[in-house]
Amino acid sequence: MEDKCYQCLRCNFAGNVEDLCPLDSLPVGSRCQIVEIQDPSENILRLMEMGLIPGESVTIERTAPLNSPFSVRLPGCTLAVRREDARHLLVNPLPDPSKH
Amino acid sequence: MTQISREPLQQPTPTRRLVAIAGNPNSGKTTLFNRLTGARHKVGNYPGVTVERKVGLLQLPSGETVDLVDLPGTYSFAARSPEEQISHDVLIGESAGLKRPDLVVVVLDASNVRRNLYFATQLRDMGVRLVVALNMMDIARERGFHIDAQKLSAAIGCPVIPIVARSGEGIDELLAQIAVERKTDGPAAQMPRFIDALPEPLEGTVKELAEGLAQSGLSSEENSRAEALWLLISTLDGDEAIRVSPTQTALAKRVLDKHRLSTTQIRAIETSARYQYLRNLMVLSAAVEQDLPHRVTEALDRVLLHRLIGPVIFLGVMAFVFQSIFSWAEPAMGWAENLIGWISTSVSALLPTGLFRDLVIDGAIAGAGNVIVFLPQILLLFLFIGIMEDTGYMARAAFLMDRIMAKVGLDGRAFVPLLSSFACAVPGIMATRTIASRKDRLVTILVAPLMSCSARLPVYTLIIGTVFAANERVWGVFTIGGLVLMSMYLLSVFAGISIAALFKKTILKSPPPPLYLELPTYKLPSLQSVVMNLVDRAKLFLIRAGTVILAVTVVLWALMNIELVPTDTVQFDAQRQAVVSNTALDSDAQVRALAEIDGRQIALHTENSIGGQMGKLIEPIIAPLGFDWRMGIGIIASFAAREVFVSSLAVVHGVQADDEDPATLRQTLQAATNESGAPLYTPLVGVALMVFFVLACQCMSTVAIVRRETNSWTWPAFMVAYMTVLAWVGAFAVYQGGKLIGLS
Repeated sequence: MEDKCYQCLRCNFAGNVEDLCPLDSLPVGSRCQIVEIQDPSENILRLMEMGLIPGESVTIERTAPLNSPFSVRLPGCTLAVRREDARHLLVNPLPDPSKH
Repeated sequence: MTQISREPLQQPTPTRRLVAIAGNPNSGKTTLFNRLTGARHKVGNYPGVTVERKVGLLQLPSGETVDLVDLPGTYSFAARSPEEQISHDVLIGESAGLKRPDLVVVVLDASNVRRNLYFATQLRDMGVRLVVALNMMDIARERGFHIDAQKLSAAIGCPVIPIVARSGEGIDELLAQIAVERKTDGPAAQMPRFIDALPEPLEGTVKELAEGLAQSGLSSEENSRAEALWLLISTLDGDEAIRVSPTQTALAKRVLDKHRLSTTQIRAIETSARYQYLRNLMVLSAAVEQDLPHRVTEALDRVLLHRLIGPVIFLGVMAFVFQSIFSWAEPAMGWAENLIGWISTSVSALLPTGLFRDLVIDGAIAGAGNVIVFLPQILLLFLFIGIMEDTGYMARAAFLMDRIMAKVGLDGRAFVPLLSSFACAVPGIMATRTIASRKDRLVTILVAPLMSCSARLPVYTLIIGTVFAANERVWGVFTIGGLVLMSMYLLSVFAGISIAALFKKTILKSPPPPLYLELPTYKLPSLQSVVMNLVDRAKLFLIRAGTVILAVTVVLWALMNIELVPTDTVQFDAQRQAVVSNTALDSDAQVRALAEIDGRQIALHTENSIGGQMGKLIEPIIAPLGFDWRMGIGIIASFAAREVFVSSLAVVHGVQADDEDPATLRQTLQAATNESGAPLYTPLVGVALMVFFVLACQCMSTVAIVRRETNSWTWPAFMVAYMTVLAWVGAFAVYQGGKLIGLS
């Protein structure tokens, strides 16, 4: 992707680049922040319109029985994301909020 | 071409103000529309496309009546589908039959303001007069989402009214705002429109394209920037390309090339930039996003989306829906048939015997009956679909089914229509409405008739009973009849999947179905919405499909009853005379003999009819399949409905019309021979015939509904053609293949 577009697909991330991983590699229940979107497909562009953008913190709620799609929770809504699309979303895992 | 509704009361007129309702899916837009218009609305099509248009009348407290048009729900104004293009066209006043809306009410889900405002700010960019309805305030409060409506209003310069469409809270204030005709602009908004303060590289491209558009007269000066941005983020290529002038497309592409940006890049840039803008807007509006979980939704999803229990429950729900369409509709269908029978008898008594009476009874009234008999199934199916959609369960179903359906190349929402088609394809095809992509919807519609419907069962039952020892047990627990039946269903599923995959790779080539799926919070279904949807669907079916079905019934009646070759009735009268004067016969034997003569005369009459002669005409074509001209007649006549095959075959073989015992027909068929004396209905012929029925489109009602749903005759014609070819090839393969390996 050219530089002019790069900033729209990435948010400011102060941490270690090695900590980033694709969304589909995280277990159910994880909380993470979307840092970079690689090679957006039509699906991903649409998901971006629905709020899945760099900088957003999301929770992976569950997966469907055959392992795809995931349901991903953003503030205000829950979206379905296919495994092959989740691979293109690089995220920074966040520590789990303490559960009671 | 579609017609705008003809009822004068609900036709948009230039003198009434036009208000459009827009918003995201799941924002409660439709509930609001239904609440505002009640029964005073009409569903039709936008000219030239399959997008549904809903226009209604709204009576304002001020006494004014306005036209209300419900725009398709969408997340973004960018046009990548006919629905989104329609929204754009309506808003700039370029949709046939509608003027430019005087006002747009945009409905936002208050629990999801930022995402909903994405679309609202795009509308604001377009320069339309906006009133913002902040809906579902009750759920928002429960989930800890707060926004200051006054501050938001001050920020964007439009009225913002909190409402709960379901209960009516806030509606009065909304109506008051709609009633105000703003001739002058209100106080200046705190935040400029997004389009007026674009970051680079958006600014450069938009400015340049806007100039080009304004200069070529393709857009007004004031709207040129918004139009330019809309063009840049819409689909310019491929089949879902937006329908704009080639000049506009060329201009847009040139600007993109010049700035070395692809459409993907510019879309990503616009989305990111707009969310940045929205972040600021949310701050100005003192928005709080606590995001407390919606307890009911969480609890239900733990069960309904559970990895094991979820699918089990889903299958259970599907089985329930299917069973109900299959069997619960029956009593109602029985009532419908009785009603038609009663009407027929009454009319029959009024008219003199003759061709005209037959036309009315067996043509027109029977035709009307053929239409009405579908209503119970349609109403039941749409009742369940309506409830599933309104509660939010349908989204969960699509979530569970996505992987399997995507593998086959079908949209997740194709599952319910295809399953319903196992009961009857007519309501199943109507249910494909929810599939977003035009091509995916078409593929689903085209393979729906391959799902072996309940009308084929009488045909299977007859043939299996005739050519097989149906009740003979095999492998302990199965019967031959059961196994053969099951293989027909398996063939049906296999054919459906293969043909769908084939279409998706060739003529309806499109990328794997997209997944734009939101799992909304669970809600109680709105009875008003569900019932109104039922009424809408029923009306559409009756008017659009019903007329075709009625017409075809009359035509088929004519074909099967108007003689092409005159029947010599004299010989039959002589035979009857001989029976009557034969004193050796007792009265019972006489009755039977006379009935048998009647049967033979009717058979000959049918053979001599246009339809009968057509059956003989096609005999050379169907002979390689092992069929003869009598089966040919059956195939032609059963285009009305598959179960007609049974009665046609009965007639053609001389079985009396009022003989209800199925054994009679079976025995007659078993005894039937062809010219060389060999049995006509052998197991091989039987299987070939059943395979033909699995794959052929023997149903005018299906054709009628496909015409309605695709808004053209091309697709129904194609469907009949491909299925006929498929059926012929299938039966050919079975018959000739069977002969090759020594079967007969």
